[in-house]
Amino acid sequence: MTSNSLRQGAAAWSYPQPFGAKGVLIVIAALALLFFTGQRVEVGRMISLTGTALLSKAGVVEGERGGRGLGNVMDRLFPLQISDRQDVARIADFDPEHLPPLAYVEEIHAQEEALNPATLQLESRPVTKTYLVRPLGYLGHVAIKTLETMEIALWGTLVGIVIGLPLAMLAARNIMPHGPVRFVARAAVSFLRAVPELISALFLVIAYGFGPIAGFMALGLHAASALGKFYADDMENADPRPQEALVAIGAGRLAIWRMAVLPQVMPQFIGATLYVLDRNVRMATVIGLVGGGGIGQELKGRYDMFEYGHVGTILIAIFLVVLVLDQVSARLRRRFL
Amino acid sequence: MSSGGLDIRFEHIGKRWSDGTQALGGIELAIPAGQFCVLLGHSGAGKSTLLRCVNGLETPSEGRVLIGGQPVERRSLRSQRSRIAMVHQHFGLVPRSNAAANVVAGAVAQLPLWRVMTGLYPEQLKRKACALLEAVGLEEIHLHRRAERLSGGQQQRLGLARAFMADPAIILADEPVASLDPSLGREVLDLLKAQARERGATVLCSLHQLDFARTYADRIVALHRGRVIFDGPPEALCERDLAVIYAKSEPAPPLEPIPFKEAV
Repeated sequence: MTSNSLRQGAAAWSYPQPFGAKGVLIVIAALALLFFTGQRVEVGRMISLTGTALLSKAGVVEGERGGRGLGNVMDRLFPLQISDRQDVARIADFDPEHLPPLAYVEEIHAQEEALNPATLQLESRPVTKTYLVRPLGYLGHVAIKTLETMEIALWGTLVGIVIGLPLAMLAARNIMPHGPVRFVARAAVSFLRAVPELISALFLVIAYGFGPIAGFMALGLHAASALGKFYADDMENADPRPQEALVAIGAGRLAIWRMAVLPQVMPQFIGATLYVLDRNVRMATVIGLVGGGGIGQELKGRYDMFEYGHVGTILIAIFLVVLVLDQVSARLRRRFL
Repeated sequence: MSSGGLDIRFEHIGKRWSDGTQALGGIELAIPAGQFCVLLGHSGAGKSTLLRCVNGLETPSEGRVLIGGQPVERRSLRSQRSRIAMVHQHFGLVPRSNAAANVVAGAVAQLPLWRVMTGLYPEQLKRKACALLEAVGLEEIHLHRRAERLSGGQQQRLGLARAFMADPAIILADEPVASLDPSLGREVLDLLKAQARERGATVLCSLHQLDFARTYADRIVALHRGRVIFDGPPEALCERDLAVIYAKSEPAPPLEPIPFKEAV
């Protein structure tokens, strides 16, 4: 009797149908949207160009445009620029007796066309140029710039913590009981978030000039918004019971925050901060493009001078930094979470 | 530190939740200093609400609570709370904070803010915390263990140590043993009673286990649907009261409290 009615009940259950009229309609609508927007962002042209490039690389088509595609970029980036060559005449206090380690002097004899003021004729005359060559010079330069980038990222994160933590405390419901104050703090966080690093860096470059100051300030302001939001949400989600236990014995709000909230949310804080640091290192390379110092500024300079070998070295350096950082932050995360 | 208990007076306490539920109605109680008073009743009887009215975690909709003759008011709440400790059913310990830090947190109201923020506690306070941890039966190895890694019984012992850290005049224990098994519960209540007696502190402890209430209480106050239905020494508790307290099928709530028996 019971099993029978159960069976009937089971038959009456409705299971979600995977394919129905509604599903088909949604798929059609999605496809229409993709076709429409795809045309506007020139997806078709992208496919055709990429295809031509691949086919010409494979020798199937004689592509006159294929050469301008992705393959050409790779060709120009290699060989990577590692050494550094400098005209001795431009080095102040050059002392051939005391060369830097690994460096050597190279002399190049060349013909130089010059206007003879007496005859007003172009004359060719031999010149000897002396260069100081440091075989690993550019690599060292990139390393210094990379270090500067990481320092910018570190300071950006510090600024983010210093601004973000107080904002988060003002924005968290369980720490700041006054609604209007919370609203203002949340609004400030949202405002900081609405301004991308690149934009604020442009303005900060006007204020502080080209260089790392604008870079780390721009990163710091944006990091403050991210950390302000993460910290505030983490603190609001902390277990309320220990907090109530301290309220019950007459603890003040700051004391409750320090004793009952902070220990709980410390792992989340560290996780969020590591994420922001990770992001800042990547953003610090981009921020250099608008004059925020570090490797990005070097990249932009070399790119504008068509020195793609240098650009290749820089890109590989950035890749290595991000790779190492990923490993380090994964390890730190495992340790603290 | 000062010791000795404070008396608690409930003057016509009523509490109505915002959804209209009547949690407490017309509670009149006077608990003399140093008494171990057990609030008995099944869940939803209003025990917790009554307890939380004492330290202002709930504000009664009507009536007022007096502690040592002083009404509990928003103005003086923090200084009053600093003399009222609380032991929770869920322990209320800070996870990821070690046992030592959790115990010291009990003295938070006595510490200046800079010490709280920096975590630089005075040596004498640390010694006191250690003495208390020892008194509740925790050992050296537990001192730096995170609170949530301790067993349930150890966690509640920690809760007790924290409660006694501030030399309270009143201890509110909200179902302190509900989440512990009976033998552990007995140990915790033994400790609570012994430590409170040593300090002369008044204890208001809610329980739902009758045998515990009978063993430990100087006085039992039974609540049912927000009203006092029994008030007297444990020996006076009779079958009829128990039938009401532990009624499975809910009888109509008694309109008038059952005639009071003399309090101890």
